[in-house]
Amino acid sequence: MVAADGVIACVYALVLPMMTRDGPTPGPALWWQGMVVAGIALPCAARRVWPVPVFWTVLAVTVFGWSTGHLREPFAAAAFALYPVALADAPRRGPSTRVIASVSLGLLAVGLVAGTPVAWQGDLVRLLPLGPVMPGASWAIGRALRDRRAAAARVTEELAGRAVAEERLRIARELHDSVAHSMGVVAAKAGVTRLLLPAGTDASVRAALHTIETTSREALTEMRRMLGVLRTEVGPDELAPAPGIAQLPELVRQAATVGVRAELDVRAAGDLPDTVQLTVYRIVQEALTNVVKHAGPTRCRVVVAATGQEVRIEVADDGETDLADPAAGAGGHGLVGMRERVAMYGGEFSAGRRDIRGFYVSASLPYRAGERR
Amino acid sequence: MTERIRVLVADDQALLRGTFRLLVDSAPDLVAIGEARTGAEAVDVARRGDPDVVLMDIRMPELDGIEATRLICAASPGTRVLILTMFDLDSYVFGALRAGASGFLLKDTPPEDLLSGIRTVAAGEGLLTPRMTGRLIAEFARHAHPTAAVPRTLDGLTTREREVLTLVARGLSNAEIAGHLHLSPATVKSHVGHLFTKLAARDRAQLVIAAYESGLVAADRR
Repeated sequence: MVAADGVIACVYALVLPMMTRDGPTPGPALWWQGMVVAGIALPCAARRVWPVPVFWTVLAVTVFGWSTGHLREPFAAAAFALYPVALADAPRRGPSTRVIASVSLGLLAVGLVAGTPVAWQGDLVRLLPLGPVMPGASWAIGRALRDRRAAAARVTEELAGRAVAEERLRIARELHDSVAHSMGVVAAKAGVTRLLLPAGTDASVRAALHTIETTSREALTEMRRMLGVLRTEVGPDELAPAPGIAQLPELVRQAATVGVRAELDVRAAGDLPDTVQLTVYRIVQEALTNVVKHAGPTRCRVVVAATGQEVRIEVADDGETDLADPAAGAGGHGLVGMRERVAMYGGEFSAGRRDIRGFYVSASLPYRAGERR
Repeated sequence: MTERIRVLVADDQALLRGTFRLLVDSAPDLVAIGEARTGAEAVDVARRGDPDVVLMDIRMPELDGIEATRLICAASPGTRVLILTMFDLDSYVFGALRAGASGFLLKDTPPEDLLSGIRTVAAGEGLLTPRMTGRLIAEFARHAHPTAAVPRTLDGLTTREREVLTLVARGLSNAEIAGHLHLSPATVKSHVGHLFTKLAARDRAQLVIAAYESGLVAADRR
């Protein structure tokens, strides 16, 4: 962007003298003119770097050129330099965009009635209405674009916030669901064991089982109530059990039907706790969805490796990721969810471009093993 | 003694399957004839084993419990399905009843109640908790459409039958109704049988609907 501004500044520095030289009066000293042209055109190269100083410099030199008759520059450079100032302007400061646009149009109308803008003369009477027209238009356009960008940024922020909230709701729902199932197993097991106790069993054992049974039943009732709050609608997967490691091959098969050939490598992950299995599944699911959506037909490698204390998940593809920055763009939605899930377990998460080509997602979740069955 | 009630346990969690099987086998009048890990397996085992009652989980891989119930009820009318699930979501209850399930219980139901539930269903009675019956009525209240081809009137019912119908609509079992009205269970059963005939109802859920549609009971609005 800055390089483009530099090229424009240099070209303008070359064009400007031509506009000046074919004037009706004999030109002033050439070196003076050269200085003024350079003073107007060259700062424009840095308009995005120091918008405000560049604008005032260009404007000052232009006014000086006009008033001393060195130049009949139509304030094009000033307009060019004002644009980034308008873009960076703080919201709700200065005159409104509408006022700027209306005044510019009004001045243009006055100028058109008063005289032909083509016959640029050095007199200040002409300058007054017509000078500000081009900068005014530039200012108005810059401001309008700024307003639009600000609105777009707000919408993006709101959407991102909503995505996080929705994802947290989903995570909470799945977690409560999983805990409720475990609680149900406790209640059923305790109840049946109590019923089947042999006749001579100590009364305290019977009482203990009864306590386990009723307490877990009460907890389950609370969980159901909680789930009623969390459940916004019955999802399409409510008729199937919560997915886990055993369902990963099915995900890979689904990806294959849309052209992503994934290679699945699961190491020692069969007896992870249910909630961790579900989290692993969701992360692989989101990562594969991103590959399908953004990398198109490609190859991809999925590794799920458990060590007994930690499970690592790596999903890496060789595709041409179609987003400038998938972590920030539309592809970020899935990443938001993955990050949230990993954060819940106090794990680590990273995602980004691979060195040569493709995109990777890497996560690790700590867990406690050996407590099942 | 009459023949034992043959029960099939369908649940994808091995721990629960084992627990319920243990419970069934502990009752002298019940016997577990098999287990199923998926809905598809339940359909298969039910076809070969011809159980009296299937204890059916809803969330199962391959085929969910509601679909499995539909297939089993269509294939063998003699088999009753008792849904046994962790959540009493409306969609589960209504889906299961539409599919032909005879009853619906939660997995943490006290084991004594679970056993009597199996016997109730095996005897051909429906089984819903009062809470579910209430929601069933509320659901019909929401989707009430005056399209009933046969207007349900209670003109042909005796006073006693109306009383029984009111209690059925509140989700009470025959034994509970008998207790309420100081009748013998056999008398209640014959009253319910008359209600089935007079109201052209296939099961208790339909009796509940008839009770609602006729205005005998109103939806419980909380």
